[in-house]
Amino acid sequence: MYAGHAALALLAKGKRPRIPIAVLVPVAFAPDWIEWVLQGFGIEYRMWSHSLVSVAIGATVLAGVYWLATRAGTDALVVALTYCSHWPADYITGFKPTWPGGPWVGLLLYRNPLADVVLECALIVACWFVYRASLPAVSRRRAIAFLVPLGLVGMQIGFAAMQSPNLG
Amino acid sequence: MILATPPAFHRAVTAWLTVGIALVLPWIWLIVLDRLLRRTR
Repeated sequence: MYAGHAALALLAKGKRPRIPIAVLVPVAFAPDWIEWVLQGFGIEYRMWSHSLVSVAIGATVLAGVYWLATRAGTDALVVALTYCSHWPADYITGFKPTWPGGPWVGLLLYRNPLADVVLECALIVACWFVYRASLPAVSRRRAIAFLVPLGLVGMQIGFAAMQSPNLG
Repeated sequence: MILATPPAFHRAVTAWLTVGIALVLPWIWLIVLDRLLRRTR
């Protein structure tokens, strides 16, 4: 999943507006960030970034750091849930590790790029409605409010086109 | 000596940088728009 992770960060922001979006977006993408950093060192090992075990550890650590910094227990829980959302989201679109020695599982929606785009765009719109409700009333109808989902949809389509050049 | 490095290395670096941009893009996009939208003045 790509832009769908950003949508889930929007959902969390909509529910807990006190948590900075600058925190929620990288948390929602955290396993991808870990994988990207590891790849920078030439390490290709998704067990450390995308397994159920690594997600549970990462979510606990980040939520703990957030709680230490803010002392806001519910917000820290939402940070953990945002991190954990990465795994089921990727389970739908890809094929992910579970635990060391455990099976790799997933529905591999990426094999049908169009269905993936449709699903992620629907998720973006649904999460945007929740996010939009958290905005000041005067901002909800502003044109830039609509740029939030439009930009993410554009990024998702661009991502899909790069993954599957024959999509169009 | 960039020209002397193997094409596979170039492809790997390009792919890695592309993923980095893909990770940063929604982050910046949402930070900027959220800041603008929560400014009530």
